[in-house]
Amino acid sequence: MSNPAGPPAFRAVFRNEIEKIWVKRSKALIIALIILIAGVSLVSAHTYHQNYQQAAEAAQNNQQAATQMRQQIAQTQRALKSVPRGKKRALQQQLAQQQQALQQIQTGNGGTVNERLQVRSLQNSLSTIPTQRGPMLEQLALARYRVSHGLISYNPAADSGMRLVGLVFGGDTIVLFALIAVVIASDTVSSELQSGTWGILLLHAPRRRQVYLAKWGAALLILWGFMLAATVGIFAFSSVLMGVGSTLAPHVVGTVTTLIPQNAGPSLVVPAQQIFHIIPQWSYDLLALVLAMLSLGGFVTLLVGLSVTTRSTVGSLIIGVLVLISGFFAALLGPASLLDPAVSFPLISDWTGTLAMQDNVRALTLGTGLAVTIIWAAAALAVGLWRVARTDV
Amino acid sequence: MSASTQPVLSLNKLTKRYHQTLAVNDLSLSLYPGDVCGFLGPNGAGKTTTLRMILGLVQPTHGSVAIHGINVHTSPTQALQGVGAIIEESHFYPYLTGEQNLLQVLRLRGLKVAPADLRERLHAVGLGEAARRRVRGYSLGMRQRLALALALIQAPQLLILDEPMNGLDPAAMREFRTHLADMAQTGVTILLSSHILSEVEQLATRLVFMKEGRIVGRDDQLRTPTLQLQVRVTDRDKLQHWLSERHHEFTQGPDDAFTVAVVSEMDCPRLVREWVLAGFDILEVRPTAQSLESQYLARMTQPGEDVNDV
Repeated sequence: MSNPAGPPAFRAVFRNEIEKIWVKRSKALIIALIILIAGVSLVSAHTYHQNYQQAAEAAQNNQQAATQMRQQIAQTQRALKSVPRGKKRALQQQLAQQQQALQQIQTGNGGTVNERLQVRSLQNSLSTIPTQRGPMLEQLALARYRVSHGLISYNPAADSGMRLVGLVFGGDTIVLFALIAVVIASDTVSSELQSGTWGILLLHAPRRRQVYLAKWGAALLILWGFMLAATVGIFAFSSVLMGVGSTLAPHVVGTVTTLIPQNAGPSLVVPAQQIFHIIPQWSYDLLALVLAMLSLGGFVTLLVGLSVTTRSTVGSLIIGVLVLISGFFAALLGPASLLDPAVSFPLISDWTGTLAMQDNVRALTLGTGLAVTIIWAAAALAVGLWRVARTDV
Repeated sequence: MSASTQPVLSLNKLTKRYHQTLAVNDLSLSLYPGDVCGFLGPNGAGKTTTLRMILGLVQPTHGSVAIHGINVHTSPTQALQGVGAIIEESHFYPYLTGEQNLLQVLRLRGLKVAPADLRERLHAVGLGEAARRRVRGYSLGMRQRLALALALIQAPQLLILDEPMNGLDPAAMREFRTHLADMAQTGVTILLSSHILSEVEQLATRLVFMKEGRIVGRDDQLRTPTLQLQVRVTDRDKLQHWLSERHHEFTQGPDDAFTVAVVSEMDCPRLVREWVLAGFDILEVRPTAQSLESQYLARMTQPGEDVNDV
């Protein structure tokens, strides 16, 4: 037996850390993965089928309305032939209106049917949920904008395994992954300090900062592995339930909306210099996943830093969960929500403009979201490295 | 040991202060190859803090620790390369097996060991059967055995042992003691802190007594036992007065016996003669060697001299 390597290599510490997390958490992570994949896929499939039915009903209603309109047009045309010349003008106007209405009904294709439903639903909600009036008016305006431009943001026909991946990492579901991050990372150093194994570890690997970085890296790798596994699992299972879907279905991203109150009601203003991106589904999914890995990577960094700073697993768990929950109160926090790392967990929604619209904070963009994530992570890493070098065991 | 040899371990004016508490105060100590130093003192004397500073786990407020001349706190990796240690209660990852715990340390040390060799190492410390059981289910003694396997993982030149016999059964204790004695014979330096004084007595070649963060006594010639004479007389008060008058070092036991320190073997018949001539009725007299326990108690109950620089 020899020791040619001399001082312990980072790789050895890193490998040990992976092994420890895996042995300690593998059962919980596998169970969480199965629940997450099954839960997300089944709930989405259920919603998909409901929406599909609604869309089918709406299409049927549309068809009936078109038939009715055609009958009315035929009636008007017949009346036009029988009325004296002096009264024709009014009927001609009525006919033009009816033909325009028919055209509108006919342009209601599969892609915008649900957008129309959304508009209708938002209109109904406006009177019942007055506290959410502001954000809802904006959503309404955006939905109208999409309908009028034939842009698809929600299309039952496009609902599929492919689409779901993007939705998972761009919506509230990301909180479940943040919870997994809390489970993986919040006891990284504190559990060793509390159980006394930190001393043994440092005895054989005395470079404390190296150990800290190895622990951080291991926590990141396990979380990212979990996210990738969940992505593959959700895609596969939901594809079985709802079909694979189109890899090229368009997504509109990069919208930043401005609400202008007017006499006739609020309307959405899209500045002239606004850059819209219409990206294909696969690109949207990939970007959503990468950005989520980045934001949750920042969260893991924060949790590992908390673990060494508080020296308490319970303490870092509580703070981690509080940070996580704070993301739900972004609308209440107003501009201060910009500083909350949890608000920008779904970074893709920062880019699409959804977060800015939901939380009424225009400055919530991909740039600010990334900056906040990176600043928090860098600060946590610096404090963690500083603390770990000075902690007596 | 010789003063010209480079010390394996040297503590230089080592001090640790926790807010208002001075845990270790200006402590200096040098150990040489083959030294087995018993590091003794009551709870809270600062022994564990000192051992942890030696291992680089606690940052000293002042002073330095060097192993083979390399500063532990500035170059920990190099300094601790040949150091094995058992620190108080042995802590392991409870969710890993004994084998996995050992493998983790082997990896950190950059050592490649065949699985059969790994099992052999565990077998050598009596954990062959439990090698693949999670440490969570180990008894205290089994944990200590695993700690021993870890401490000896890389043929250490310096062993730092803090209460290593905790939880060991008598047979394991004897086995452990023999092993340490063999290692000391090959030149391994051992710093041993333990409350089991009989074990320290059998192993140590040097003693350091610590109290309230300072070294209050030392004995570098432990292999030459200090002689004592135990005596029982009819008139105890008279003997007490007689001994005090002549400045003899003595203690009075609960069974009315006096234990009197003597410098050499020839002092025993001389003293007995003097007592007979002084008219004492001697009921019993027998020479004994001074136990470490009595040395320890004497050091800890008397105000200690300042011998921090040893």
